[in-house]
Amino acid sequence: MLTPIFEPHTHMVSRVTDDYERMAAAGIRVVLEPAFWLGQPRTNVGSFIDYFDTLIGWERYRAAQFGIHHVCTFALNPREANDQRVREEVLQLLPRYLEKGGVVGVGELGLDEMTPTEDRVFEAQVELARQHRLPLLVHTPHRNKKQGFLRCLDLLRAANFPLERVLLDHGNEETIELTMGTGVLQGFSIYPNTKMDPPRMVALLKKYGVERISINSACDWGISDPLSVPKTVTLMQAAGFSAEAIHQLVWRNPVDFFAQSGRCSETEWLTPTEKAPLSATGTTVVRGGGPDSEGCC
Amino acid sequence: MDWVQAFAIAAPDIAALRAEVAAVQNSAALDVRFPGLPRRVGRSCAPAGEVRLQHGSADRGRWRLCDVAALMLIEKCGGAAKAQALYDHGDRDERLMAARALLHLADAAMLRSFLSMLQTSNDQALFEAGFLDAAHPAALLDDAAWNRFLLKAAFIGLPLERIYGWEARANATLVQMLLDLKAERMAAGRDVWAGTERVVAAVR
Repeated sequence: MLTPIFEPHTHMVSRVTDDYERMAAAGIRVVLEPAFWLGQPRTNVGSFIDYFDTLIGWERYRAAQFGIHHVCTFALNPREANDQRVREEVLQLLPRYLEKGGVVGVGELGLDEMTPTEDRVFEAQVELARQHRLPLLVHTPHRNKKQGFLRCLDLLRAANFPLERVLLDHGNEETIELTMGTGVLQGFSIYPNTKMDPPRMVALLKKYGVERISINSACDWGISDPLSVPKTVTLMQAAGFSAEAIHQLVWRNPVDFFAQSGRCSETEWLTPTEKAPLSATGTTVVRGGGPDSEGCC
Repeated sequence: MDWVQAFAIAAPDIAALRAEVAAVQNSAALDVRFPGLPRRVGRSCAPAGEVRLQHGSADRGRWRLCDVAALMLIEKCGGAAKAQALYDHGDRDERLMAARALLHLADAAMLRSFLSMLQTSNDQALFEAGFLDAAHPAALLDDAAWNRFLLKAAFIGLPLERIYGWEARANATLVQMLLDLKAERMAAGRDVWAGTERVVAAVR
C-alpha cells in the first residue's frame, strides 16, 4: 500500500493534468498551494484577486478530478511586498480570503531581499495569522539564507508568535542547526539545481531524524519535479527508514501542522475527493476531465 | 419575508441562524463573515417542500442552512449586487450560497444575465443551483436560452424531473437539438439522455 502523502508546497496553477494524474498515482492525497508570485511582477491588485479566486475555485476543482484535496494559504509574498503598486491593497484584501474554507494558513509570507519594507509586511501578516487563528508558511531567501533564517526567527520571536505554528521553509544543510529545537516545522524543498535533492535530503534525515521536519517539491513554473517527495520516499525506503518514520515525515508532520488551522481534518483528507461525473463532460463541464471529454480545442 | 418560517427551519437551528444574521451589520463585515457560514451554520438541507421566491417557487429541500443564512444576510447587507460580488470572488460553497440568494434578490434582467454566465460554468453543482429545482428558468428564459439550458442539462445527464416546467416549454427546435444529440451519442456508442423521448413526446 502506498504511503499517503501530504504535499505541503506546490504551485499547481503552473502544472498540467498529467502532473495531477502522476501525483495521485504516487500516493499524494493533499496538495497545499501557497500564494506566491507568478514569475513577473503584477501591476495592480486585480491580478491578485483573480489569482486568489483561481486558487479557491478552479484549481481546487481541477485537483478534485484526480481525487486530490487542494488546500491553500494566502499572503503577500516577500518579492512583491516591495512593490508599492500592490502592497497596501493586497494587505487589505487578505482578511476576506483568510476566512475562506480550505485556507489553512497565512503564506508564503517571508523575506527575499530582507528590506525594511519586507520586515513591516512580515509583521503585519503575522498579526493577521494571529487574528484569523492560522499557522504561518514562511518563505526564506534564496541568497544570504542563514541570515534570512535568523531574521525570520527574530521577527517571529519579537511578535511573540508561537513557533510551533510556523513552517519555516526552504531549509538546507546550512540552516538546520539554526532551526532544530526552536519548535518550528522545518521545511525542505526538493527542487532541482537550487534547493535540496533526494540524496542530500536522505543524508540529512539520517543525521537529524524526522521530528519537526517536512519535505515538499515547491514545484512551479521553473524546472521542478512534482514527484520529488515520492521519489525521496523511495530513496528513504532503500536506505532502510521504517514505514513509521516515512509516514511521520510525509503525512503526520504536515497534517498535524496544518490541522492547527481548524479548517480541515485528517479524516477529511484521507477521504478521496468527490469527483464530478466524468461521463458528463463536454464543452462546458469538466473540460478535459475524462475519456468522453471533447477537451478545449 | 420571514425566511426561517418559509424554509421551515427546525427549532434547534433557528437560534444559530438568527445569531449569524445579527452578527453582521454592513457589507464590509459580510465579506469577511460570508466564507465561514457553512462552517458555523452547517450544510444540512431544509425540509422538503416548496418555497416561494421572487420569480416562482423552488424546492426548498435543495437549500442548505448556510444558503438560507446567506439569503438573509445578503438581503440585509447589500442585495443583488452584493450577491453577484460574493459570487464573483467566492469559493464553491460561497458561490452556491450567492447563486441561491440571487434567485430571489435579482430582478428579472439581472437573473437572466446571471443564468447566461452560469450556462458556461464548468462546475455542475453551480449549474444545478442556478437552473434546477425551481420555476424561474421556465418563467424568465426566452426559447433560445431555454433550449441551450435543456441541451446542456441533457448533455451532462441531469434528470428531467428536476427541471420545472419542461413540458410546457418543450418545442420543435429543442426536439431537433435533442435528436441530433441522440444521433451523435449513438454514433459514438455512448448513452442517450434518458429524458429525450419524453421531451419529444411532449411536442408530438
